[in-house]
Amino acid sequence: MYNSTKRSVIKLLYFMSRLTFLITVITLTFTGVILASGVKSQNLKAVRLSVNTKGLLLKDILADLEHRSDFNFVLTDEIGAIGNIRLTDQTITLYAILAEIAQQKKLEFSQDGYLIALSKLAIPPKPGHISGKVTDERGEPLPGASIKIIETKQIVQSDPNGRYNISLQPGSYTLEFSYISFQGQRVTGVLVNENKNTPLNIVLKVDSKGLKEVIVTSGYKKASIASLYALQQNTSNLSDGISAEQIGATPDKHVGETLKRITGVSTTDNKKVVVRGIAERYNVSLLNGSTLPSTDVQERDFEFNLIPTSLVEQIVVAKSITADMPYGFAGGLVQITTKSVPNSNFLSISAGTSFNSITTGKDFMGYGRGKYDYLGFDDGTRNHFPKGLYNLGEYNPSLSDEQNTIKAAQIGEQNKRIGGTERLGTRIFQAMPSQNYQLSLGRTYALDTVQQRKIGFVASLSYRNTQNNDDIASMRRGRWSQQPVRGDDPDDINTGNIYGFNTTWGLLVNGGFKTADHQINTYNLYTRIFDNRFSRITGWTHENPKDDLAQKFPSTQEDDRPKFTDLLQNKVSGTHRFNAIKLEWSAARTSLKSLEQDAVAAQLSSREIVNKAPFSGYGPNSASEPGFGEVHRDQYIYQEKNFDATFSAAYDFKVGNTANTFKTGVNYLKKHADYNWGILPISMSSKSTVPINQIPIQEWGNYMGMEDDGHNIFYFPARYSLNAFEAKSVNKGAFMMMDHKLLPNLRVVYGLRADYFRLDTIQNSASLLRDIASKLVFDEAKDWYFMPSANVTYTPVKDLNVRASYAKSAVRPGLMENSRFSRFNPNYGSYVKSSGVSSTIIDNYDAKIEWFPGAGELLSVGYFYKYFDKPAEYYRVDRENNGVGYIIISNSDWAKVKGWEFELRKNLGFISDNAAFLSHVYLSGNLTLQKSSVRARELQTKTLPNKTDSVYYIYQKYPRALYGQVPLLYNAGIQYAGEKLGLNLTYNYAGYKTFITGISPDLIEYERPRAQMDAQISYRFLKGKMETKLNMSNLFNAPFRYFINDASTYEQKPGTENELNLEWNDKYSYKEGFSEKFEAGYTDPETNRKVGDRQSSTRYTGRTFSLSFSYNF
Amino acid sequence: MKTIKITYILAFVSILIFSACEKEGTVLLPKIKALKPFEMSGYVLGDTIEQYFDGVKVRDYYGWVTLGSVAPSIAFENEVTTMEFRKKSTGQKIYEQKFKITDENNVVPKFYFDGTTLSPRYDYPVAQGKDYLINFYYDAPKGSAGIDLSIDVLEYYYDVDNNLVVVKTTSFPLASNIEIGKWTDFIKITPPAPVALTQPGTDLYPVVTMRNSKTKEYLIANDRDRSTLQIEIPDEFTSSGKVQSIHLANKTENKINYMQVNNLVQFFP
Repeated sequence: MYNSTKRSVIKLLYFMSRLTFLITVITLTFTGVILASGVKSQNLKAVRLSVNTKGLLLKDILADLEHRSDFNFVLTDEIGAIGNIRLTDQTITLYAILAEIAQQKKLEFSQDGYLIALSKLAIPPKPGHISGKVTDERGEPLPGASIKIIETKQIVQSDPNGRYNISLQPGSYTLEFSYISFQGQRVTGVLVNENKNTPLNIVLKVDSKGLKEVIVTSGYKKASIASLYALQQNTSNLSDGISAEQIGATPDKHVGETLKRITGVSTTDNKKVVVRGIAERYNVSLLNGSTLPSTDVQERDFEFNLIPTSLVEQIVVAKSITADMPYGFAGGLVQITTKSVPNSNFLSISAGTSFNSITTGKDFMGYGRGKYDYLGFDDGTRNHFPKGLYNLGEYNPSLSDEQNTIKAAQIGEQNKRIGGTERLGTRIFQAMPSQNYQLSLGRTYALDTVQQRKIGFVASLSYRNTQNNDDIASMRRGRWSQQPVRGDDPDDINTGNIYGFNTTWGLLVNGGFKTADHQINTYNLYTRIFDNRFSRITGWTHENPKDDLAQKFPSTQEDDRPKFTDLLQNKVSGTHRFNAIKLEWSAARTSLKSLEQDAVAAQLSSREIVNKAPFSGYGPNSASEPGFGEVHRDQYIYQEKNFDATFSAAYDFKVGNTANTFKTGVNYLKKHADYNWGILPISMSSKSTVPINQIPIQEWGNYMGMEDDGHNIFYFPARYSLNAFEAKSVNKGAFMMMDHKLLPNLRVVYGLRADYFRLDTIQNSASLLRDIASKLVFDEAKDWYFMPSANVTYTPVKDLNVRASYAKSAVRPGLMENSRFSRFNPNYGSYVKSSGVSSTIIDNYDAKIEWFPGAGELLSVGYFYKYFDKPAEYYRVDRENNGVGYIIISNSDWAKVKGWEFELRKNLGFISDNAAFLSHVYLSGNLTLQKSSVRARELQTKTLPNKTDSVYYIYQKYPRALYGQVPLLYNAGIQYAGEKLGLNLTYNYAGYKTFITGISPDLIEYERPRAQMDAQISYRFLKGKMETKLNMSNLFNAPFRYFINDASTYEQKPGTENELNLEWNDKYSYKEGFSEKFEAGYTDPETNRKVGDRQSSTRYTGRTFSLSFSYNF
Repeated sequence: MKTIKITYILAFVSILIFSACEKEGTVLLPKIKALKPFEMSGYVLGDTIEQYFDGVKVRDYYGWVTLGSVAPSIAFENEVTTMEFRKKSTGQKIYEQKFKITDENNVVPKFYFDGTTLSPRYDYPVAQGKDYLINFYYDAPKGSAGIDLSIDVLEYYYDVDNNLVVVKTTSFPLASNIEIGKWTDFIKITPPAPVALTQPGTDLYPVVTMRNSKTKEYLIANDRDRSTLQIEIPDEFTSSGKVQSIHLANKTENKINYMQVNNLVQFFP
């Protein structure tokens, strides 16, 4: 009702303004005519002259005019020296001549009788803008809100989307926002810079005291920082986030580094996200609202290092669920929003470089590089996988040609087609400093005079090259030896390095068109990453521990994985408002291609010869080796194409004094994945006379002709090593949701979602000979799930929210999670495979109290409880009982997770009014406490009387922690944000984390607590156009340390010797001084054996110092 | 003006990118031109010998020089490889030999190093008649006492559990206070005098035992059985003589003390 009144008033004012303006113009025109008519002789328009300006300075032209008329000119020498004047018509009036010169050269002239003075036109400064959005506490736009600029008394109103844009001369302003029946808000110190936009989003609160006007005053910075909190405060679900401004205060280069700064979020290897201590596979990643594909073939996970922070506008992690959220999660929904249509034009360029204390300038190892590695493209030297390779599974090189189906000459020809081994073998390079560049451009065009219809775009191109050396100080995982043979032998350790060479391109083009009621946006992101991880670990294996004879020297395992990843997302979305109805839709296409080209695994064995100790070298596999062997070159191509579409309609209506919204919608997500692998073991016949010990691996290709026993090294692909996986899935859903604002301080949102999922495996080949006969067993109970959700927000006093929510959600298996593909993972030191995964259904309960004491300030405490039905976890199993085992993904029976979250952000201005700098200082921190318990189960098979196979489970009596659990997480930071100088110190701590779980404690691997401190100094130069940042990350060089409770730390309980099928807890207990936590232990003087936890992996990443410059044109 | 700035920036960026490019690194494993057979043996006493190849130390030798678990091969990265022996205490070069890639066999002549001089043989006297001549060189950790040797004639029997039961020991001194780090003079071993049995069902067995010359305890853990020395001693039936040059090395490995015994006459027949 009040909107239409307001509009009528505006229309009336507008009409009156136009009428007044017309009257004024007419009056002035007639006055001029009356005044000019009596002074004809001094009328410049009456004097016609011809003038020649070619090659003359202004003073010469005017001297000529003086000479040929009665006028005299007054001007400065500077103006007189102006040249290069060209007139369109050479015989015109004196007025026209002077007007054209004045226009061309930015001069003005004034006439006093016959005297004409020329002076420079004062150049007015270009105006800047203040723009933003005015919303209510629910995030709904407030159209027609009044924005008054106190200094100029100018008043503008927000458009129907709540947006406003005010053009102002540079300066500092105070803005007052008001809206009928809402509390007004005054923001002081809003700075407007020439030709720049100052963003300012404002949330107005309902005025509970009726019509009494209340103005809340806050500073600009507080209001700006508050915008993200406003979103958090006003959404119906629980969320935490980080804005571009906050990201800018960290040294983070990609989103993977940033996520851990959000409350309740931690990361694994700065790539994978753990929310509330719940591992990556229970979290969903959205880019501009659309799902992201899994970047790890064997894990349901998106690696966030793919997205540079420079392209990100904000990251919000939703932790509770409403029915309109199309994708199920249990930990968090990570929503990344890239930069959108700007409010004003901009062009910025930035460049930076960084130095790592254990990498830069030091040896950097890797296999042969391509010419274009720095540009992120392969130059063809890694292309060794032609089509139509023979399956040599039946080939025996010891037999004659007559006895083999495929002849030696055919294999020799195939070897030639595959190509030589020149690229193989370790090289030493020098590590260079990392470098990054970015060019960003934003343009906006108004399509009408009132700026209600606009079109605009943001484009950004970024490049980054980083080189990192992770120093592995200890590796005792998987196949590697688990303890030193002699406790006092300091040389019996397994060590190595992981060298990471990464080139990343990011191209973003987002555009939008909007009118008063409609908005259509397009988001387009392309990232290309060349990521080459080369791991080189040297040590003794569990199978062959150190001794003084054949195992005197360690062997080396090399793994080179050059991976080219292309991620392309194109999305178009729209919002349309028809009075009380709001329609929203989106359609997105996301494709990911991950090409691991010429990935090589090789082993160097060492022995002692007379003049080399050790004498190391590569050796081909035995032709009788049934697997990949020790040396193989592989190609893995993973392609995933996703299409998703959403449509929703919301209707706002009132019942009595209550505001309500009914929302309904549908969503559709189709995924298709192809995975092809080609593994080329390099083998040699036992009859070979090739002097392999003295031939460098780079020259093996010269001995692949297969013409005789001196040339019989060959590529040995078999059926299982040239194979594929293909699957598709469909996920569709529909929802209905009600949003009631029953009282001014009570909001209830509830709904029901129906969710359908179907996964079809089209081809599912095994990648290992021993798995060819294996079968995956999993039980997907049903296709449809109905999932209710409810959220209640109660605001008992101003700025305080009390929230409670419940939701059921379903986490679906990833496309590859039911693949029979398995591969050695050098990080785990063992193979990773699937055991069959089905959907997990989660009941989520949340409660939270939030207090927003001031703009940009927050104090909150939250509690959550989750029940997982059939959670999927990564297990280490040792079914062959060889001490090495492998890692599988499989469903457990159930899990319960509960925890507390606390967050604080407070400005220190309250300490003293006399210390102005304190108002620029913020303290922030968050704390998450979490505990989980899981009932594990073990799959068993039996044959029924009718001779069919049947499966059943053995359930574990003793609960344990959920895979990925981090029981304690906290962040603390202090920030000073001055006009020019910025200082930021952040501290991040993560407690014990369950890295890989297992059926008994001796198989479970934990990550030890880790604390990281980062600092940043920034300074603005050249009136704020240039900014430089010095970042220092990981100041303590904190290592990533993992451990397993070693068998030496526990002992068998008396009386259990003859008991079978006992669980670990019934059979064993920890020795005195040992527990589930890490204890380094001691060396037993009697046995000279180590008694203590196995330090399965310790990795140092060094300290990184980076310097960057950015300039805004 | 903007154009110029952008040009400068692009030029700077290009320089950084292309200056960072490095396609060919240095191959980690050096190329081996040939791998040839190699032979070497000798004996070192008095000082440790350090073995160098092309200026790089590969290993130390003391006592019996043998390739053992070392593969009998030499790798050629160049046409010639030079081997040196250096005296560990002084670093003094005591021997040098060049090996050529064209040689099929690479042999270091058998050598004996006495701590001062490297010679192609170890000299010892020839046994006359039925004489048993023996000398000793004892190595033990610095500060250890010397050792006494004796021939112990054990009168023994086996009990029902097949355990050895010694009922009487009769000792005949062989050598006393053998000092660390120098050869003793050759001594003549005579067969132990006849010993009468004291019990029925027993038998006699002679062993050479080592004792700490100060404490007179058995040398190894004061255990007679672990402190016996495997050398040949004559008996009443011996018809020909023998010479033995015994190097005794008292060692402790993995916290276990033992005596390593080598007879140099066997290495230099």
